[in-house]
Amino acid sequence: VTGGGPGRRAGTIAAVVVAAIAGVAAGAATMAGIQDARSAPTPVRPATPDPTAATTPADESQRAATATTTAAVPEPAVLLAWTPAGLDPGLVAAAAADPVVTATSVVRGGVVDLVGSRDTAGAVVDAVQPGWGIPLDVVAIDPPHHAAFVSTADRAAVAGLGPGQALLGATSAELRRLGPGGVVDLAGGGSVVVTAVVSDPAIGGAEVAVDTATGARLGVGTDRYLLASYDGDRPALEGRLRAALAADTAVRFRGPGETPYLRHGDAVLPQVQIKSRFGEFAYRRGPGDEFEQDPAWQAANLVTVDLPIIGTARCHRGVVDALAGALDEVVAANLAGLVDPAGFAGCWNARTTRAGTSISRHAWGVAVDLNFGQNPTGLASVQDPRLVAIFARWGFTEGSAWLVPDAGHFEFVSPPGG
Amino acid sequence: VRCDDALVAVSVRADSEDLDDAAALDAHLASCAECRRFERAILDLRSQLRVEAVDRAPDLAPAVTARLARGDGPAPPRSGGGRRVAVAAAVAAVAGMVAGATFVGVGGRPRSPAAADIPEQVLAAQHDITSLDSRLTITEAVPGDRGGTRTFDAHLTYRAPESMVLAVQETTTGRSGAERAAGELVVDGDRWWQETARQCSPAAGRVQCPDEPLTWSRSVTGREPFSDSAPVPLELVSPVDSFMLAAAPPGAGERTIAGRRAVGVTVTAAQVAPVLDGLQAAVELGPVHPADPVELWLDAQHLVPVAFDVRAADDPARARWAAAVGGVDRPGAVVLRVEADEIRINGPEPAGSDAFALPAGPAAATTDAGFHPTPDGDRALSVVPVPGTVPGGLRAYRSGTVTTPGGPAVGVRSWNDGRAWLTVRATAEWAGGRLFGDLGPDVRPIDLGGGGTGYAAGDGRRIGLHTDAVDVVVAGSVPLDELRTVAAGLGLRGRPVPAGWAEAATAGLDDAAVVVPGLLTARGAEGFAVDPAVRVDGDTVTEVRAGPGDRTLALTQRTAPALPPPSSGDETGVEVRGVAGRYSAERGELEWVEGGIAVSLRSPTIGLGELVAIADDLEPA
Repeated sequence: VTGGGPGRRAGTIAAVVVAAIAGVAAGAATMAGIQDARSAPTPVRPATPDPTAATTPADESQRAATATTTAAVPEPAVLLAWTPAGLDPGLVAAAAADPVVTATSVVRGGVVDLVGSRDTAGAVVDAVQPGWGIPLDVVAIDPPHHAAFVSTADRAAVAGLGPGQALLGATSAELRRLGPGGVVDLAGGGSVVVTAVVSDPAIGGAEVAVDTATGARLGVGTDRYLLASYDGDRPALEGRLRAALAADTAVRFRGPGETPYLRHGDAVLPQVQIKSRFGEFAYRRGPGDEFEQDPAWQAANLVTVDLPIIGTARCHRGVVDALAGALDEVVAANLAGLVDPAGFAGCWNARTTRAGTSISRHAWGVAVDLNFGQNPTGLASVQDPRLVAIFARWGFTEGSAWLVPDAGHFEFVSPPGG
Repeated sequence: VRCDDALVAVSVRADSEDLDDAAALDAHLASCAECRRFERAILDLRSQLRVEAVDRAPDLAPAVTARLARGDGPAPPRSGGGRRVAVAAAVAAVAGMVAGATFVGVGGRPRSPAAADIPEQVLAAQHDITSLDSRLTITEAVPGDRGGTRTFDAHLTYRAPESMVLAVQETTTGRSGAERAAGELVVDGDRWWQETARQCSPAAGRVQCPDEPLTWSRSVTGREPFSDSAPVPLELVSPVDSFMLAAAPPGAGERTIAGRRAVGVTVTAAQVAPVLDGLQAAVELGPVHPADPVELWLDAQHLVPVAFDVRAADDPARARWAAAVGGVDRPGAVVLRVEADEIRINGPEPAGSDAFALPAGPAAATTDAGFHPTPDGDRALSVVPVPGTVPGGLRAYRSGTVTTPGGPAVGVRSWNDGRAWLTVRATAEWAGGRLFGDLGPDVRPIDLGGGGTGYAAGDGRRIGLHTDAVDVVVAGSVPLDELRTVAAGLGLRGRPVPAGWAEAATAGLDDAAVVVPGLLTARGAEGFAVDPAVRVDGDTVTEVRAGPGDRTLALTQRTAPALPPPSSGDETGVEVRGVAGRYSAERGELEWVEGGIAVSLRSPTIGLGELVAIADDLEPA
């Protein structure tokens, strides 16, 4: 519309037409959402260099990188998808075939028992009695594919991961007192050599990452979650992925920022975070889901207390104050009737999860089952929301919103008030 | 003048409509930069258009607000030859907006004076409702690829103040009788009974679900007056909570529904969540997004809800949320429709003496809530102060004491007038630690004059008082200023809570910054108190600021590398201060990690857009 004469008139007309069309669109859109006009947030695009870091990276260099790249051209977005009891293969196939998906990483996971470890000089760091092990949360990745989903700082280490090698997450490395060159001896006679320590988010908050071939040798063969980078509309992508599943298959999608670690079972703390707070034990598996637990760890960490409403309970000493505080508050609010003492199904219990795929948080004594008879696993919650709210204030999450609801289960996730 | 009211007033004045209290608006604008920005934007737009107000023009305020929220306010006027193009384009754009709004059919009608008064009318009308008998049809869109609709018949019978039967039966065609959901809620004074369908989620090897639908029944005895434990969904009778803190809603005109004249307003699902929740007492409906626009129709005389449509909002966050809960709703599509087929307000008592009789047989779970009617001389009841005055028309209703194993003896007095109610609860046995009366996490101190210091819940529905001898909470369906009057007239002098209690301010910002290095503060949040209440609990710092009206803002920070795991399942990702964060509409909470600090910004009355804006303006303490 810079010229004069007819061109200028045509420009005016064009502007009017464009404005009218834009006005129709704007009017329709704004009026449709008229009452919450301020509620449209900026969709998250992972402009950070670490797509799997669901929150700000912990170290200063990564924070600086985040700050300097926030305004840069957005990289493809990242989506986490997982289904209960193993990743549905239909999800993997649908993601691989989807036109907006640019890369995927299928992550396998499982528990592998550590039976010993040595530092670079060959000195023993961890020694476990024969027949016993320390449970490790291990993921198995396809290194070249997974490298696309980690920070630049971790990318080379992940991409270079080879057979017989392992990456430790930062928190895991502190627990293990190991660094590059250390050796982890695993149940079944295998050993892996630590090649690098990476940020916790790079391996989904797991303790150890190996490549898929090594994982298969260690028994880590179950697909757990999928990371997909995409360049398109997230709800539409989720819709297409969901459509690839059976109608009654529950699926959880998450993006960066929505959960601390992009991993399966993201409503609770990863095992390494539980260990970091409450310690680590050796155990010896039996035929069922219960196991024998290191008596020294038990003596140092478990206490038997008399709690309001539910009576005697054996729990980790690190949570009994919070448990007592929550139950005291329930009583003080005249809500004791909301907790059926007969429905208290325990705090400490040395066992795996019912699915047998991981170590139950009950084994640390940091979870309690309340009103369990009325709230069996799988059924929608009938817990009173005020009971749930009180326990949340004291640092316990409750399983109502889990993909497979477990509304009777209250589990530590953060210190009170956090 | 609250911000919401100010924005409406700015819009009214820009339209050259009469404004009753221009001085109050100007005073508010002088202290509120955001409202000034809004006024500038709307005046700029008007000046560009150079048109006079026309009849039935749409209210531009929400659209302008939305654009301001996105940070793309109106472009400055151009000069020279471009101006004519700009003016013509602007006129065309507005014409388009009118057409677009009309096409969508939401908000295209003028904000009528009647609609502007709806909040006050709802609060006033509750006093005159003594009974209700209505039959409703509920139609719910089934999200996702399966599509289609589910339909239900509902029958609501109510007798003031606390007797109700809500029975819902699914009528979806193509479903067998056994597949159709049904539910019922029955309340009569101190007795409460509920039966609802219960979902089962199968999981291979862990959970096997039966073929037949599951139900769950629960009963409560010893129910105290207007109990939260066993509530009566009074919002279905009169949406008092929904309009208690509301600004004037845009009008949607008038209709005749079930033979009665009805007035319509356009609100959000967040605002009328208590109404939607009321239906859920008997039937599990699919979730709606808080931003979804709702066209709510109220009986013109008694302001009883007679119909509403919930439509899918056109909002990226909404689309992501819909995908997360299993479906993709087309923007503007009706998600839920409820309409009365028959309705009788304040008619004769329901036939038969057993209209509110509880079903026979045991419930799956029975709870004794511990309330017993007691005479005035009872020790626990005697600690309950009697207000000097109660709001007009309210008369004494049930009173008594609550005793539960191990819990404090609590005295309760209540009053009602039709559906309107008021309670005063008190105990001399409060163990402390936090305020008595379940005021929630977003509590702020208020000045009760001669009544000393009180504490208001974030939603404005309760006021707590702490004294050396007794702890009291005042609650009700009457406006907050009337609750304040009651609380101030109890003959008590409330004291600030002890330092060890959750609501106590224990530190200054300087002290708190030592606990959390790099601490942020909402010091610059427009319209909120300059001096916050700051509390340090171990390694956690919480800053609470009171805002205009009933707004409260809580900022919680702790040194942590990551947020706790998500707990609601409704969290969606948002960009906040340049990093990826998350927002839970259910909790009204925005969270992110910045500089090694896990930050939570929470308010029960502030939407996501404003929370993000406040977060963006946080500054080092």
